[in-house]
Amino acid sequence: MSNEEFNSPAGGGARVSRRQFFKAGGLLAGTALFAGAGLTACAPQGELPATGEDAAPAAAVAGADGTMLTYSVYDTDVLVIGTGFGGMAAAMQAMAKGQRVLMIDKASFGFSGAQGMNWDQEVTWPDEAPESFEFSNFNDTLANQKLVKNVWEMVGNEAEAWNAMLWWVRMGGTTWNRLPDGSIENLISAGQGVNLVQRGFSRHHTDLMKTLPITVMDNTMITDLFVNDGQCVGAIGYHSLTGEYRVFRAKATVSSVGACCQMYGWLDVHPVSMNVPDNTGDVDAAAYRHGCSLIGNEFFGVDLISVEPSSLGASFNAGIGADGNHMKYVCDKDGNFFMRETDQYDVSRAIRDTVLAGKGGEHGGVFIDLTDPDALDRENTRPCYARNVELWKSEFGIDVTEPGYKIPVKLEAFEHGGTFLIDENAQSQLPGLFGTRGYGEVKGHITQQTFVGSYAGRRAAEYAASAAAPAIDWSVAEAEISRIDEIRTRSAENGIRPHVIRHNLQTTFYDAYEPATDADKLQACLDEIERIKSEDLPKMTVMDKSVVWNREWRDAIENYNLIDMTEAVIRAAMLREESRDTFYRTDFPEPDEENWHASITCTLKDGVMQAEKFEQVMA
Amino acid sequence: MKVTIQKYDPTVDSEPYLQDYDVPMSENLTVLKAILYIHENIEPIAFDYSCRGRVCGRCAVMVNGESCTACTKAMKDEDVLIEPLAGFPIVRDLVVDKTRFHDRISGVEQRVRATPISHEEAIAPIDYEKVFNKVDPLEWCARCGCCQSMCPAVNSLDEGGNYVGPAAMIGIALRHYDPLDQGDRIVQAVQEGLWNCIMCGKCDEVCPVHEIEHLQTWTELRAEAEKRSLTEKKSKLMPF
Repeated sequence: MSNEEFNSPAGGGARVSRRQFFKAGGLLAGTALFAGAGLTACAPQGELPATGEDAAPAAAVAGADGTMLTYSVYDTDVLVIGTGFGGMAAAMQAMAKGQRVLMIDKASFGFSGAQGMNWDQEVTWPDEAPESFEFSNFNDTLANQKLVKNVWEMVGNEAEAWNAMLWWVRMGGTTWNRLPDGSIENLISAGQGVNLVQRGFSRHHTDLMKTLPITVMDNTMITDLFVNDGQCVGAIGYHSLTGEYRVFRAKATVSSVGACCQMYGWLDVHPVSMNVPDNTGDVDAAAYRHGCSLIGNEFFGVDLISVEPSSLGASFNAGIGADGNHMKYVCDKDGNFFMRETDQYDVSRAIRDTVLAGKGGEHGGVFIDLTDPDALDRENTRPCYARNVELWKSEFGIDVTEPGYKIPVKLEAFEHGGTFLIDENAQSQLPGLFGTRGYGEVKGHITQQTFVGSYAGRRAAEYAASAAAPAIDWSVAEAEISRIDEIRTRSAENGIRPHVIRHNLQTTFYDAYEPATDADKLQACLDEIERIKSEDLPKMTVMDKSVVWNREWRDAIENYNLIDMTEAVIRAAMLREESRDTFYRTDFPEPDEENWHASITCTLKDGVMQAEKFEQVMA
Repeated sequence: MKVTIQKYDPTVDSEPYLQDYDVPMSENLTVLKAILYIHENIEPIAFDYSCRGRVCGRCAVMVNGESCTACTKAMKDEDVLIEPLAGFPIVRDLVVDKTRFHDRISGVEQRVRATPISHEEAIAPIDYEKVFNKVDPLEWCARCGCCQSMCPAVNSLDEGGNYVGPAAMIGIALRHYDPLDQGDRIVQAVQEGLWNCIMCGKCDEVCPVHEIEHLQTWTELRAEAEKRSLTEKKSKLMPF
């Protein structure tokens, strides 16, 4: 048959898939089962290879369009969802504790998430082991002090154990950034007892992980946790390259899926965030749906990045920006270098106030002026940004050093606090589910992920070692598979494509949150979120019905997660009547230590998200 | 302008085909933005991207027969053909499977080291010109595969398998200059086809990491190999 008979014109129409072709041949009768499309040779069930240890036979569930859906089952001791710094640390610890570990990666291993960008990362470490847990660099003003203490005890009192720089080098990293005399460049001046280096490249980590006896299954998106009898017994998802549904059974599960910043506006190809499309908070939203509280939602880590050329989509790696230590050439619309008088720990506030005072540009942000001959020196512009000057010139003909040129920059979200709550054992409210964030930290960072991730992996391993293999009700997994498949096959009158819903959500949220928020803006955003949930999501349909690498389908599945993650930001922000860290409300512009030295959780109760104050857990 | 994309969905198509789309020009338009425009406004395309900054390599495609990272490639106001990265198995449309390629690079780029690394050694001063400036550009390699897809030595059926390809060779070079590596990377480079490269410079031309000087790197490795009389091309395994 020619392609024309299989392919309809743009707009959908009837596509005859190979699966349906075989189905019409009468081979489908509930006994012979076919794996997801993409296989050209279909075999009856008995000939499908067994998958994983103790695998249940691939079972089947009917899809809404009549196709039989099969799924494969994978069994392990400790399931680690996410292969970034937190996930890798957790997996290594669980492996060291003698547990079988299976890591799941939403995209290609080594190339997914923020960690999968091979880029100039910064790492911090103290000269000595902190004398008291309070001084651990994964501590925070609202953090669970019991957990911080537990992690501090685990790391111990040897200075080398705290040396994240050395850890990176041993994982394959090379020289860090060097000064012209060949010495290592420390971005924190000497004598402060703490160090900060740049020019780490995370790809070395995933290279090394490939040498360890840990199985990594990539290009597999987890769409739900597998919950039986109130216990987390694994996860459910699908393989994006083939559409094969996969069910994971585990005695303990660690989720380390990274911060979700995908709600932060939309700039041509990406939100106003240097983070990446993979991170839509899928497992966090799943945990929320299963009754876990989300914490830290209102807090984002922000810094400045160029928003023009907008087609670079707020990219840290092709853009030009400024981080906390490199604010010298940040200016307002009149060219005043206003950050030179500002306390570097108050960076976001100074920038926001400048914009609110009308001294920002039309783009809604401030500027970076690199026309001074010293502006591109190492002390003034990080090398990872400076290298893009040449790229802009050669690709776009933009010369940022030309007198009069000011680079429009905005605050972008590089990190987000929102994730499910964990206790001092890194366990969530769902027994068997552990997390590497969510202990009241305002937002995560790489070094924190390594330490807390290690702790979570260790705790998960202990749990798995003591737990019996959980009983499984497969119908729960099958219901989830039906849910996911229905999102793909759904048709609706006046259907709305997922990107339309997504961009509306992103721009609505961004307008409410930046440069600062207030009760009215938050309420307006919440109203729109409610409307999207009740009116738009039920009509969300995809043009792309394929099961192979279907972006639209993925976007649609993610939209359910993203809207919950966004609603949690708004509800937490509405409750917090103060400003704190990067969270800025113009109607409550100052911190209120008396009333709001606390976290806020968002929990599903009677079908509605409830925001509540969550008091800091002290040691 | 007219943007033609190679489409192929293995669940419905018996072979790849070309599809034309009309895309409006805009200021600083990139290939990625054009693909996304088609996907959102005309019909779904299977494509990948992540970092928008030529460090993850996921968006690499062929544009008018030349490989590039779509995210940082500026579009001109002229007709263009976009195809999946050459030399890799196609998953769908513009998405290819680079697993084997990536695993190969991971393998050669493992640091070879018999003794533990101490803090002192990790921070010890190094020669800025001869060591740091050598390591620095190479480490930015995104492993996008642009070089690999254009390399005549890699893609030649005659030479097939005799050259590991530019990306992996950059990884070997990185470890050659890495002050903490204890491996004989010159032997490894020769084994992996250092002399099978034809020095055409195509890798240099298409690599989105402008700092990496491929030909210069191959020349330096060859000079060291020559000093040690390691000048054999890697020959075919099969004797007949």
